[in-house]
Amino acid sequence: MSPVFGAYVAGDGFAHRLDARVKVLLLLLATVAAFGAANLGAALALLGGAVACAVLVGVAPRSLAAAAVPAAVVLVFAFLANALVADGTGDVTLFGSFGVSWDGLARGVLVVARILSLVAWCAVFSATTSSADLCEAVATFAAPLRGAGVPVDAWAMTLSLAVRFVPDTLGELANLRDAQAARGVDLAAGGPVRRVRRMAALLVPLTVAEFRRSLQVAEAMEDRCWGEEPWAHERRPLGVGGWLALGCGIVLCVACCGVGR
Amino acid sequence: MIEARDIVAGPLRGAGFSVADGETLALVGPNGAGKSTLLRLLNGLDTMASGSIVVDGVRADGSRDARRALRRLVGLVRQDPRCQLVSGRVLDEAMFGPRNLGFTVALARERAQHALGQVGLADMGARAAETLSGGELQRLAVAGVLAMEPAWLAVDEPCAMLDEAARATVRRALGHGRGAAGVVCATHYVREVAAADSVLVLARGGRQVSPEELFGDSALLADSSLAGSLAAEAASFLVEKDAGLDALAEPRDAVRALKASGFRFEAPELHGEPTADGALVLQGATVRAGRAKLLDDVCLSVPRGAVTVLAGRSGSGKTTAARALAGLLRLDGGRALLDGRPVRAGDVGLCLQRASDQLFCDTVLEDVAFGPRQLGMARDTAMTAAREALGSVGLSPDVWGLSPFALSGGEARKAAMAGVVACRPRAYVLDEPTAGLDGPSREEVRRLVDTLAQEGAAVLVVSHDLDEWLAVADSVALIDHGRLVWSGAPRDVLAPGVVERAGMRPSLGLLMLREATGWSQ
Repeated sequence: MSPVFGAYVAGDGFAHRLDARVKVLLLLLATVAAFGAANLGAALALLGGAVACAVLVGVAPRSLAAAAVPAAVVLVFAFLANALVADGTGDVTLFGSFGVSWDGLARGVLVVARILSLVAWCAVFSATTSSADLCEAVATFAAPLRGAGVPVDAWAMTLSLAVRFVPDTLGELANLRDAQAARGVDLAAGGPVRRVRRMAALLVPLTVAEFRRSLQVAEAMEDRCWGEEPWAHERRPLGVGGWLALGCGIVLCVACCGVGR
Repeated sequence: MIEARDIVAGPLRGAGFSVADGETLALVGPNGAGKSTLLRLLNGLDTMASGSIVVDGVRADGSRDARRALRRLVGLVRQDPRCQLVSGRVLDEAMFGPRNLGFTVALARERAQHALGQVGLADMGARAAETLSGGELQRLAVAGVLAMEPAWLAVDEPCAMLDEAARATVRRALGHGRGAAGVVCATHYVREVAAADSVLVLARGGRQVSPEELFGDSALLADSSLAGSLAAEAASFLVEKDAGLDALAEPRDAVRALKASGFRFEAPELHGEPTADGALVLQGATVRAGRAKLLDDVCLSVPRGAVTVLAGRSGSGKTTAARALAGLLRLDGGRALLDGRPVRAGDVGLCLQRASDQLFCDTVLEDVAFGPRQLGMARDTAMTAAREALGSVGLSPDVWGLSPFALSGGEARKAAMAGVVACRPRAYVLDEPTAGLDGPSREEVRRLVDTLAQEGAAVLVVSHDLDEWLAVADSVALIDHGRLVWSGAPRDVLAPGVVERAGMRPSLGLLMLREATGWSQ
C-alpha cells in the first residue's frame, strides 16, 4: 500500500541523509518563497520543484493529490475570487457584467500554486525526516530557551508525536468511515443538518479513539522512563552537504522572491 | 523474584503468586478476568486497592519512587503495538528507551541494534514503522523494551492479532530475546502456557499451578478458558500419558508425540462438497496500489445459507477482499455483486478487525440500535433488534446500559458484532471475528455464525486460524499475494501441502484434523 501523506518513507538518498536541522530551515525558506514568490513563473517553478522532489523521495503522486483535496474548497474559492470580476471590466464576458480578467486569472493560479507548493514541500519534509530527527532538530533550535526554564525536550517530543501520528489518524478515519458506511451511514445523503448529525458517527469515535490512544502512548512512554533523564544530544557539525543545501536554499528563496519583481 | 499476595484491584479478587528469577509465568482466564490489570500492577502503572506485590525487593505501594523503580525493572509489552510506538523509524523506536535513561546517542544506538538483533529485525533499522507487518510491529515493541534490559518482561497477549507464522516469530523473539529476564505473559494459547514454568489461573480468585497440573485438571482447564480447543485436548492427553509438554513447542513434533502415545485423532463431520450458486460474489476483482496488486483477478463465491471461510496469512489480501465484497472499495477491475446487483455500502454486514473502534453512542444498546435506525427501522423495532442481537452474541444484559467505552476488549468486540447482526443484512463479511477472544467466547461466535447461515444469510468469515472454522464451514478459499490459490470443500483443504501452498504455516489443530481425516503426511 502506498504511504499515507505525511508518513515517513524509508530511503537512503541525499534528502534522507541531510541533517534534519537543515531540512527544517529549508522548509521555512520554502514557506517564505511560496508566499513571497514575485510572479506566477516563480510560483509555478517552486511548485514543479516540490512535486518533482516529492516523487523522487517516494511520495506517491496519488497521495500528494489526495492531500490537496481538503484544501480544494479554499483553493477553488481563492481562484474564483481572483479570476472573476463583476463590474463588467473582464477581458472575457461570461454573462451580464460577470467576466474573467486575465490578470485575475494569473493571480488566482498564483494563489493556488503557493498553497499547493507548500503542501508538497511539507510532504517532502515529512517523507525524509523521521519524527525522532525532527525532535532533535527542534530541541537544538530551542536549546537557548532551556535556561529560561522552558521544557524544550517536551515541546520537541510533542511536535514530533503530532507529526508522527497524522498518517495514523488519517488511516483511523478511513477505517471508521468504512465501518460506519457498512452500518448504513451515508455521509453524502440528505440535507446539511442530517449530514452534520451523521458526522457524529465519525467524529465521536475518532475523537474518543485518539484520546484513548494518546493516553496509551503516554503510558507507554512513561513505561520506558520518558522524562526521567534529559536526552543526550549529539553535537554533529552540518558538513559540506548540509551547508551547500542551505546555501542553495537561500539563493533559490531570494531568487523566487526577487526575480521579476 | 516476584511475590504477590491477596491482590484486590479491578476484577482481581485475592490473587497471589510467586515467580523466581528467569522463570516464565503464564496468566490465563476469561476476558475481563484481570490479566491486563495484573500486568499493569507489576510495572507500577496502576495501584491496588489492597494486597502486596514485591518485585526484586521493590514494593508496589503506589508511590512515585516505586513507580520509577518498577518501570525500570518490568518492561511492559502491550497487545496492540500501535499504541506504544512513538517513532516513525524502527531504529529510533528501539533507541527511545535507552535515550530516556540518559545514554549517549552512540550507546543507545548500540543497545537498540542489539535488541533488534535479538528479535530478528537487525536489518530493518531504517524501515518506516508503518510498513511493518503485524508480527514485525509486535517484535519491534518487544525490542523497544529489551533495549532497556529490564529484569522482567510483562507481556499482554502478544500473539492475539497475529497469524501462525507471525506468532512463531514473536514467540521466538520472546524466548531468545529475554536472556536472563523473567516473563509474565497473559495468553489464550495452549502452546505458550505449556512452555511456561507455572500458570496463574485468574478465575475464582486465582490459583498458581504447573502447566501439567492445569492440563490434568478438567475443571481448572475450564476455568482457564483454554478448554475446548484441539491443542488443549492434545496437551491434556500428553499429561495423562506422562509424555510431557515439550513437544507442543512445534506442531509436527506434537503430532508425533500424540501418535506415539496412542492418541485417537477425531474430527467433527466436515463438509465434502462445496455449495455452488453464490449470492455474494467477486468476479475478476482487481485492486491496485501503485504498481502492486492487492487483489489480482479474484473470483470468490459466497452462497446463501452457507459459511465460506477465506483464509490466508497476514498481508495476503483477505481484508482487501472483505472490503471489496462489502462495497467499500473501488475496484480497478471486475465487480462485486449481491444477488446479481452491484454491492453498495450498507448492503453487507461488515465487521472489521478493530470493530470496537466504531462504537460511539451513549450506551451499548443505543449503539447496537444505531445501524438499524440508519437503515430506516422505527426506534422500537430497532431496539428490539438490538436486544436480540446482543443476546445472540452472548453479551449479558448487565452491560447493555453501560457506555461502550467502559467495556473490556472482548466485550467491545461482541458489541460491535451485535451492531452488525442487528441490521439483519442478507450477507455478512466478518474479518477475524474471534481474534483476542477467550475459548468460550470463540465458541459463541462460531455458533452465531452458524446460526446466521442457517437463517439464510450468505456468510464469509475471514481468518488466519483455519482449524477453528472447519467444522462450521461449508466451503474454504485460500488467498496468497492477492490471488486466490485454492478453493473447495473443508475436508479437502486438509490434504497435505494445500495450506502450505498458500504460504500458511499449519497449526497443531490443523495437523490433528489432517490425521483424523486420514490424509497421510
